[in-house]
Amino acid sequence: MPQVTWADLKDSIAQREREAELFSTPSENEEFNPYWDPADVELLLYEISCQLLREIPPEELEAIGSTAITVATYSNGAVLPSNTVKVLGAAIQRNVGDSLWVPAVPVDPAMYYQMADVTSDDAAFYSFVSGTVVFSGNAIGLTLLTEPTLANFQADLPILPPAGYDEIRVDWVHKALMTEDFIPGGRL
Amino acid sequence: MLDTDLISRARYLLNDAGRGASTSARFYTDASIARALTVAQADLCRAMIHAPHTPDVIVARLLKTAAVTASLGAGTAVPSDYWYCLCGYKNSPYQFVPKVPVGIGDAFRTRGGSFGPNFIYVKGGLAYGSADTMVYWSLPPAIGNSGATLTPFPDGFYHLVKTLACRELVAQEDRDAVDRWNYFNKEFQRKLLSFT
Repeated sequence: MPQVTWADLKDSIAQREREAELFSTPSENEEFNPYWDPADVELLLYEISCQLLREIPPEELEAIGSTAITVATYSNGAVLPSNTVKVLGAAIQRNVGDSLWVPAVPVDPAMYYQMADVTSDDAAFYSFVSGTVVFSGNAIGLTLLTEPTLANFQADLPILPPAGYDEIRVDWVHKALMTEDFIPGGRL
Repeated sequence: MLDTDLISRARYLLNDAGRGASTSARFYTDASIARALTVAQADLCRAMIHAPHTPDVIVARLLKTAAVTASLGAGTAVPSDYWYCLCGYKNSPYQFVPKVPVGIGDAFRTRGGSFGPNFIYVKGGLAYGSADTMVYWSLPPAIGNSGATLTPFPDGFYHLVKTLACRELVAQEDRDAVDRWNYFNKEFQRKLLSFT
C-alpha cells in the first residue's frame, strides 16, 4: 500500500506553517522567524503518530501489516517489552504440546490472585503484574501493540495506514505549533 | 526516552526554548520542570489505579510483592516505596487474601480475640492480617534530571505526563495562559483516553 513518506509529511507541515525557510536556515536571532526547530517539529509528529496508533481500530493496523504489532509467545512471569502500550489479543496453551490455544480473558491483578489456584483446565485468564504477564497454563501467545522508535518512522516502515491519518497528523502538529507560535511581546 | 529529553520537550512546549523569538533566558529551571513532571506522574498513576477501567498493562508495572511476617501480631513495616495495598495471598496452600478497610480489620481482630476470614490491611505504615505476602502498588520513581532512561513506562505514557505537567505549569502563568491551558487540557484528556 503506497504511503506518504516521513520526509514528505515533515515538508507539508513546514509549508502549512509557511516556515519552509526554517528547514534550511537557522532560526537563531531572527526576531520574526518562528522558533520551531525542525527536530522539535519531527518529535511532535512522532508523538502524534504513536498516539494515533493507540487510538485507531486495530483492524486497520492489521490490514497494512503494521510493524507496531508484534506477536510472540511468553512463559508465565515473562517480562513484557517496555514499549508495550496495549494488548490486542491473547491465547493460552494449557499444557505442553497442546495443539489447541484457548482464547484468553484478561482479568485485573486482584482477580488474578483470587483465581490463581483455579486450575488451567478450568480457566484461561491472564493479567499483568510488575511488568510481567501472568496466566494459567503452559504458554501464552500475545498480540501486542508496541511503540515504534523514531527511526522506524524515518525508515518509512508500514506502521500507520496511509488513508486519512496523514492529514490528522499534519493538523495536530499545526495545532500544537499554532498554540505556541506567537510573538511573545513581553520577551523580545 | 531520557529524563533530560522529557524536560527539554516540556520546555519547548512551554515556549521556554531559548531560541528564535524567545530570549535565551529561561523562565523555568530544569529542577522546577522535573518537579512538575514528578508530581504529574504521581497524579496520573493515582488516577489510573483508582479508575473503574484501569489500563492494567500500564499501571501494573508499579505492582510489587513483599513478604509479611508476624502479620497476626505487631504488624510488618511496609516497604519504603509502598503506595497502595492491592491484596495479599498465602502460600502452602495458596489462598487469596483480600484487602479490607482499616476499621473492618480492627473489628475482625477484636471480635472474640481471633481472626476470622483472611484479610490484610495497612495502618500506620504497618501491614496487619493473615497474608504471607502483600501485593502493593509502589510509588512511581521520581523523574530527575540526570540523563537516566525513564522507567518503567512506555514513552507514550511520559508524553501524557508531560502534557499534564505543562497544563499545571501554564496555569500558574498569567499571560496567554488560558489558551494554552485549554490546549494542554484537551491534549491531556485525549492522550489519557487513548490508553483505555
